[in-house]
Amino acid sequence: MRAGIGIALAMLMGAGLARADDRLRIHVEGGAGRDYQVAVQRFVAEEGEAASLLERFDLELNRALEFAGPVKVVDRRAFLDPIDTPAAWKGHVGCDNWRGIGADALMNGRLETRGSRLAVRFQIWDTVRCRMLGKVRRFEAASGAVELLARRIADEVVRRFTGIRGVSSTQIAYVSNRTGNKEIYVMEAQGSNPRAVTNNSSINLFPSWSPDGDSLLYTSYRAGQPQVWRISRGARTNGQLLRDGIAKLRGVWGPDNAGILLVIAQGATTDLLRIRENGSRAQRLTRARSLETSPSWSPDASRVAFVSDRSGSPQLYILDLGTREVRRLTYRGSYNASPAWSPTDGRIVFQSQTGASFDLYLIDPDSGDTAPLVVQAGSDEDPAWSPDGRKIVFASTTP
Amino acid sequence: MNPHVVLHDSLLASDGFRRMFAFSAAAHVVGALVLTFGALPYSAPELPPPVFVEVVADPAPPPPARQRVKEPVVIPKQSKPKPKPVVKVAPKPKPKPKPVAKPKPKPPSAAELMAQLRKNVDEREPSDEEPARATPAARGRFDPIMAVYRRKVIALLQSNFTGARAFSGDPGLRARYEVRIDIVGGVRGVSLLSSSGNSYFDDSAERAIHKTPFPAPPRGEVTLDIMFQPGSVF
Repeated sequence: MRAGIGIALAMLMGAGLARADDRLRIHVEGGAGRDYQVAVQRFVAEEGEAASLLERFDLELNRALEFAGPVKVVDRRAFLDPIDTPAAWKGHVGCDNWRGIGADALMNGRLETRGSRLAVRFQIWDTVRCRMLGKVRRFEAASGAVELLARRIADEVVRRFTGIRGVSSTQIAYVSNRTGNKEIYVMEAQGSNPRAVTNNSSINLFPSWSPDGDSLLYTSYRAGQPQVWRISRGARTNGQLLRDGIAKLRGVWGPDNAGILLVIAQGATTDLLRIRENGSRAQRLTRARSLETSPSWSPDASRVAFVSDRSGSPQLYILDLGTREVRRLTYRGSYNASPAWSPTDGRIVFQSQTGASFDLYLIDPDSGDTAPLVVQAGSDEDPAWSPDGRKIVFASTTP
Repeated sequence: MNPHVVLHDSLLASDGFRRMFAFSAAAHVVGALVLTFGALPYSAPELPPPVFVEVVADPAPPPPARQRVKEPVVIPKQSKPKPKPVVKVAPKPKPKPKPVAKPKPKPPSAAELMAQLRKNVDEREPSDEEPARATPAARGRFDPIMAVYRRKVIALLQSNFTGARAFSGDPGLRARYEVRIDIVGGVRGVSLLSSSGNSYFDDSAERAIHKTPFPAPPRGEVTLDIMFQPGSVF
């Protein structure tokens, strides 16, 4: 028996002596993470007009970089190297001093004016691996548009890190009743420079951008009956999308060539209709004796999220455009509305009523998993995504 | 008769003593077996584990030689018995302000490096209070010291991982990297084992590896097998 113990001991030792796996398996998921740290040397400017625009350009570039994406601009007071772009700026940079202050990348460049045009050339260095991130690029705009130029450059910087353009140079279309009538307005993504798109003293609602950002669809009551209108930049066109006499409550532009979804009135109910961009090939998508509204395209245009009261209360549904199958998505809450499908991934943001106000939630259309996004005392409604799928704009009664 | 002798004789003759003797002999044999054969697998781990670095096709070029410059700087400072994290030493800024850094200091040769490493190991092993890396009980079983190291590494990688936020909208992404960490916490080789399919996400993971000041592994060189994945709101 004791010999048995001895053998067991030997076996135990043998197990202890077995070749250990030297590989340490590690799973890094989420966490607080951090933003890309970008050091921006103040650009060099040619004597003359370019020099006078440098300050405005620099200020906007720094501001736009932090707005455009997951980027943090490194405080220039931390620089070990000069804060100004050296005169001979192109080509190799010493990376150690930049890496030493925690920068992922160094950006510098040069401003020049050619007549009334402002041209900016810039480079981005990956200081962690000490190589250029992309190529030297040249951006150009009218001298008066120096801020827009800075924003476009900031969006390009974000693209070089994430593969998706930043959104600082994008615009937001919205409805305001500041004149007493509901009119369509457009402003810069950061909220500046609001200007009216419509001014017809009737009711104008539901602006929807075309995929190229050059046109807007919106609903207007200016002709008495609600109709979907289309307006293009520079007002090259501004007219009804379809002149078929059928009332239309809303038009939603799909991605790429997917077409347009329309909410049409059918007596006391509404249905969804899909048409091509030129108005042809109308397809009825729903024929229910209920209200169907607020359609939102999936990014691959294969499905549509919409709101229906067919169950007795407004809830979200998913329509598969291939099979025409309709599936209920939300079951919790008595009022779920305004779905907006992320343009880059699977998530849908929507508003859900709690008491007298709405909160914003995210839902996974496949699993139905839901997560609260904005829950506060006021009411938060009508969410919409930025084109990069990283930001959501919404209307709120919270000051 | 001398009673002692009688006692002795009777003892020798007793069955009990024979059994004891037999057991003692058996125990010695088992002990000898353990020492002889048990020691064989024991010596195997002393071989350096294989390095797989160059085998895997990596779209990103290997880190430039420049990066290795800082590690030799670190090693001679490692004179204390306790392994210190390289955190504070590594990002040592150079005093010269101008980036006239074309003539970089030549990295020491491999032989020099090895000599330094050996010296370092020789210095610390005798004075080590913690179970040495060869302690049998510490191998192949739950190892609290390595568990703590692992947690530290995860926390550091997470805090340096830009992909957590930048790609939170695409929670299905997975990038797997193999990283060799030397005895002072220097990154000795990074290779992509499997790409996420999104080169920008892979890049954010690789960036986290290069920015992380790895603490010195408590049991000597270690190979990390790291899976990166973005955070998710759900």
